[in-house]
Amino acid sequence: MANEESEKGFLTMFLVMVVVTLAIAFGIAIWVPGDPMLKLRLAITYGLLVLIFLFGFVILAAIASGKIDITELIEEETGGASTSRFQLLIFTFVIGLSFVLIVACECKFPDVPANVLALLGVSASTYGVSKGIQAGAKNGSSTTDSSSTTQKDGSGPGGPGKTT
Amino acid sequence: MHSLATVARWEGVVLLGGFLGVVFWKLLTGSIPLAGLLDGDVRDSESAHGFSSQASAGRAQSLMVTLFVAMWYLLQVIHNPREFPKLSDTLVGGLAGSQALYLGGKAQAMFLGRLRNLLK
Repeated sequence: MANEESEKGFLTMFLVMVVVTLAIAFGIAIWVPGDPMLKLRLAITYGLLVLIFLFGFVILAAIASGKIDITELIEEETGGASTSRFQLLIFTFVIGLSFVLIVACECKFPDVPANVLALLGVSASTYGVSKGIQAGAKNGSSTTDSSSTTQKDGSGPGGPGKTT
Repeated sequence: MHSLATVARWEGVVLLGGFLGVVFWKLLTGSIPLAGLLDGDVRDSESAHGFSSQASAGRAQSLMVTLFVAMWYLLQVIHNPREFPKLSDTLVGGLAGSQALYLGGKAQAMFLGRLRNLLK
């Protein structure tokens, strides 16, 4: 029942987004004076801009209202907060924010220095290796102590936990 | 065309700022819990689950270095928002070393257990 309502809500939102996009595109095509090719280009570009913004805004609103649950965003399988996830989150936001700031100031796609990519690479690799260590410890725990409680009740790093 | 660029610019700022704001707000209010951020699992044969939890120095130093590098980077961008800041190799190397230390400590704790038990 709740699933049906959710699907209905999503469909309604999607229809509203498409209608708004088309209305803006038609508005530009009809009322903006100028060369027809330019009007067509403007209508498509503004339409796509609005559509992308509405998609992003719907996701943002769903996260803010709790419909999209991000409470386990930096949680480890075992329950506590994960340092590797936290640092990846920080660097993603910091570099993303700086990218938007630079684009906003310069109005062009900036050159990304190798060291900035290295910074993100170090951060993402740390997260990946951390997951690898956890998976390795889980496998080691399974093979060396198959009769332990870890395997019986599924708790601890060897337990099923959440998917990553 | 100039106004198109302005719209695109503000769109990016609003969406990314919004995502950042929501995540930051949820971190502040505890909706995204930070409990156990400095605790690491360690192999422990005496524990019922095979693992126990203990404060981790590796995590603490990794967190401090991460926050320092992130703050430094943000300050550089705020001072000159016209290009990506020039990061020195030392800074990136320091971060990589810090993360390597954290991962090494984690691997040792999860595969081998506490150091003092190893040395017995």
